[in-house]
Amino acid sequence: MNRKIIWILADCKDYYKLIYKLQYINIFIYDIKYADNKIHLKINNDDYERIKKYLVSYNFKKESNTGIYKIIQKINDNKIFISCLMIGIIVFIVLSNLVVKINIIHENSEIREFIKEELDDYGVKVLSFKKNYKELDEIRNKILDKYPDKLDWMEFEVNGMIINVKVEERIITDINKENKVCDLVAVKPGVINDILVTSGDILVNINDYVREGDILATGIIKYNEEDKRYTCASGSVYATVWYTVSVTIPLNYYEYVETGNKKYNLIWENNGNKKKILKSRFENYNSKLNNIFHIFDFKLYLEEEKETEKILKTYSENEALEVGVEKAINNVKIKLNDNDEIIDKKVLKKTVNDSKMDIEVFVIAKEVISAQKEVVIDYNNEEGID
Amino acid sequence: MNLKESLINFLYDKNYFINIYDDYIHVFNFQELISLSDKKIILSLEKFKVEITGSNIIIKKMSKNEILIKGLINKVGFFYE
Repeated sequence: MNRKIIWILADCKDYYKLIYKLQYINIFIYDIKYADNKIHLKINNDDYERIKKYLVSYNFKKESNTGIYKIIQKINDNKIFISCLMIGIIVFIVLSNLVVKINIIHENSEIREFIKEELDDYGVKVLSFKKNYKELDEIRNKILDKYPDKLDWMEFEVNGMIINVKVEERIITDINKENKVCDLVAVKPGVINDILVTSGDILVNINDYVREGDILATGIIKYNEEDKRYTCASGSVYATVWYTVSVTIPLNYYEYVETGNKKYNLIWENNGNKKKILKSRFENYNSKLNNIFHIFDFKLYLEEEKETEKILKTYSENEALEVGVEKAINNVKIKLNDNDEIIDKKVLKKTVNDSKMDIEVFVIAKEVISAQKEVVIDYNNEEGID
Repeated sequence: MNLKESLINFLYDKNYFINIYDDYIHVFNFQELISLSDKKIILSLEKFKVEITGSNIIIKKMSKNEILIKGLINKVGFFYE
């Protein structure tokens, strides 16, 4: 049975005669609109077929809906399909965000056990909803911070509905705790300018030049040229170290300036992957995201795109030199630790070609050059040890 | 008797009813539309007939035994045979 509701149009001069006939053949009329010598009837499709069959003297025409009514009609016609689709999408989202198995990959059952307990505490458990990348990263950092002496490294790998947790155990190789003997040796050449040794016998002085591998402080303490005591030399020895860095700077560069034009776009994010719903209409733009919707791992953002103009600019010779020196210093800083510092710099060579400047910079840094190196002692041949 | 029919019987436990509003008349369980014009409508029910008179009378909705009449209603008369 076709229960689809439609509007039909009939040409008639006497509405009442037509309605009388429609009542006579038991037509269900949902609504009637009257117009000049025309009548609009809202009936179901089965009744329309019957009208056409019995009322042959009238001219009936099916009317198609327009605008919002057409959309409502389409939704009504396909409501079962749309409902199933919506339920399907919800089930899919729920299932795709569910964790069905957690594999903790490590051979030590003790490690596996406490990692499992920690994950349970943070809500990462079987038949729970998946956490997004950011949350998993936070959990990873918290667990690593909590067990610095047990865990060296940890990683979550989300594979569909399964989470693999890769763990690396920390094996402590602190030679002090193992009563080993060690020296402090230079890992690079330089001129000593600061000595902070907490244990061991210092063998160098400030302003001494040392080469790579030279012993700076020894763990073998001697008295009257005899080995009297063994320790692990520790501390930091600072030295002045020289670097020569070559840098090439292009004289032309692009600068992006905002034009004041802006457009809005929508971005959805699932599992940390962002995708734009509409195509960006600017070639170059700065983007600002505002979160407008969040369910499970699914996020919807309103993106503000501010158009930028790409302007070609040229460095003057001095500007290029300044940028080049800065770049050279940064290249050296990458190699240094937090307590190390750049003392001085000097441009050794400068060459300007058509579109680029090649410079060679001499950089002087104060940095820790000492590192512990284990010394193997043959105790059987030793005598007079306290 | 299925659930739907039971529910309808429970809700519509009368043989017929006629509701009169400002511009509308709703008649439930009429048997026949005897006469129809813009000034007068005659409906037959089980034991009597209803005559509705007025002006600009039109049918708004209609099924086999139910009708919604719109217009300026002047008089509603019942005739027993």
